[in-house]
Amino acid sequence: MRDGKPVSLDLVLPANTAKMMYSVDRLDPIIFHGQNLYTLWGWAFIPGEADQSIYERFIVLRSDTKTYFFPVVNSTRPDVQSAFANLHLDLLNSGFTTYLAKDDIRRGSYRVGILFRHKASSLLKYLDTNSIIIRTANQLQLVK
Amino acid sequence: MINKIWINIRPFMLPLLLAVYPSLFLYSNNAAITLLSSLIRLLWFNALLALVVYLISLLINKFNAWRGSISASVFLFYFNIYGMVFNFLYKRDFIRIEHYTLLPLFILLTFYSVWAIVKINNFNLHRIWNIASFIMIGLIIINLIKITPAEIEKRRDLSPVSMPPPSTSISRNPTYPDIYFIILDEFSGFEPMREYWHYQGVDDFKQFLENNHFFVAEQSHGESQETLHELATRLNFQEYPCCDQLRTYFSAIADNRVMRFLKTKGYTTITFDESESAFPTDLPIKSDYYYGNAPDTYNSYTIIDNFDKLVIDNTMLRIFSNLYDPLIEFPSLKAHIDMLSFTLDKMNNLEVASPKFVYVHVLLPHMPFIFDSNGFVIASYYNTNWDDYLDNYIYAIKYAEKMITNILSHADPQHPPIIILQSDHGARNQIYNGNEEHLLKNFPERFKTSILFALHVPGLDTSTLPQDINPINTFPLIFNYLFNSKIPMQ
Repeated sequence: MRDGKPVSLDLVLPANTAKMMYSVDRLDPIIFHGQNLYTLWGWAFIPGEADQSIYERFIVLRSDTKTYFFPVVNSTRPDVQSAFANLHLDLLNSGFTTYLAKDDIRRGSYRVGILFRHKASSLLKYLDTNSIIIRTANQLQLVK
Repeated sequence: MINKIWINIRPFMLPLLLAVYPSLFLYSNNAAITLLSSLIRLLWFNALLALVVYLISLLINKFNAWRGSISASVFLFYFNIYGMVFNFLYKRDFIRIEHYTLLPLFILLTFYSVWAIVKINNFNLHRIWNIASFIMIGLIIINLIKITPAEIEKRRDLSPVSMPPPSTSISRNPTYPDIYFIILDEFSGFEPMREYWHYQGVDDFKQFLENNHFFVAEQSHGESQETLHELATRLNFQEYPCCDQLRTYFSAIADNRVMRFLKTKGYTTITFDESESAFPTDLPIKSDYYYGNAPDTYNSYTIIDNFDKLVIDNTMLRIFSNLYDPLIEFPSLKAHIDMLSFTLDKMNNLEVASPKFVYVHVLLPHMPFIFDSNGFVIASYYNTNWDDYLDNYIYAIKYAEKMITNILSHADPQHPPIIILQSDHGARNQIYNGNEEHLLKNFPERFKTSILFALHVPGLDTSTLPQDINPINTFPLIFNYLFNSKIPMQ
């Protein structure tokens, strides 16, 4: 499978109500396995959830007409761990990166959302972030 | 005989001139910072390309030399401008541009142009050839005229520079303190970090410095935003015209007054300097030990350099950028990381008797912003996004703290060292490759010259030193204190 492709998830996004801590940090163009892709960086976790690893996470790009789901790769964020030390949670793997192939995204503006899916029960928790990704003719741009 | 050879070779001249022109043009605009060897390598490639295209064109045109020449020239014209057109349209962003759509269009246009031009009769074709050749020769001569003085200057710089005799004839005075002059390139002064980035970690860094008996000047500014200008000024404690006088600065830094003076005092001079990676034509500083790169790294990995990329990016070969970009990125990245580690390690294990002068210039937190705040490589070598400056700055603080801790922990308590910790200029928020979205918004101009200025000079009364001390006075201050040199302050 090509990198940066959205995945198909047979689900209906829940209401935008999840209590979540997050940051969508940046979007960088990169060359990965010979492809021109973008990497979206950030972190997100659910406060009060003792074991964050029971969820798998997706980045959601949502416009009025189209919704894309991108799987994320967990990354270590010691800075997040120390910033929220008072929560006494294991947040070391709260970071995420995901590859986005612009060719697989239609032109338009997309609200960036973060979806948590419980690995066992498939329970969904979703939040729209304040970040927007704009797909122009040739580029992806992150607007915060 | 010669006449006959010339008649046969002459048609090849136009494709040859067209093929070499872009390299010469780009070199003439970058001669001060590009090695002649890079140009020569590319010219060989251009000539070979012209020959191959010309021979194929001859075959297609049934060995009609003039038609073959014109056809090859038309192809080379389109070949050389493809990357520029691609870049222009890509940046405008009003239409989707991909190589798989633009390149076939370009090739179609090339063949149509060739087809249209070879239909012209031989007489007119010859006239077109003459006019085109005349123009190309003129353009190439203009560029050679621009290149020549720069090359003469480079040659002059390479001539031997007078140095004081080796320290064997000068009495070494072991009671003189070691002197460390450490430059963190692009390290902003503290005020911009507090006001613009709201980063309070600078207060901890200042505390660290003061706990180690440093004097810290918070309002110090460099005269300019140019590294070489600043280093030339400080290492010679004299003003130089600003800016863009690269050859002047190269010479002034390579054979600088500070090191010459210290040699007369019996000092051994040691240089760790990353300038070479930013300025390949930079002259190595005349010192007893010189480290421009960590051993066995950069040169052995380099296949094509940034000048090659500059030229190739404008041509049809741009379609292979995904293949050749990593060839540049990887060695550059590795050389930079290796040099940072090497400098730190080697400074810790310098088997050189005191007194010594150690000059360190590292490109940290300078662009490319590849590190996170812990020094892990997280971004591409081409990362020029100023949003990532802060992480690299935080890492630079950690790097500096480690360096200072190492120096002080290895120092002879009877003869504590002098440490000068400075930056050349502040965060300049410079645009790179036209990416305006990578710039910091509303970044004040005055912050760009705000520098780090910290001095560890045991015994020197720093209570009267102003907070806005001019960095040109760094060495006069120290030499007057140590050697009673009576150098006037500015």
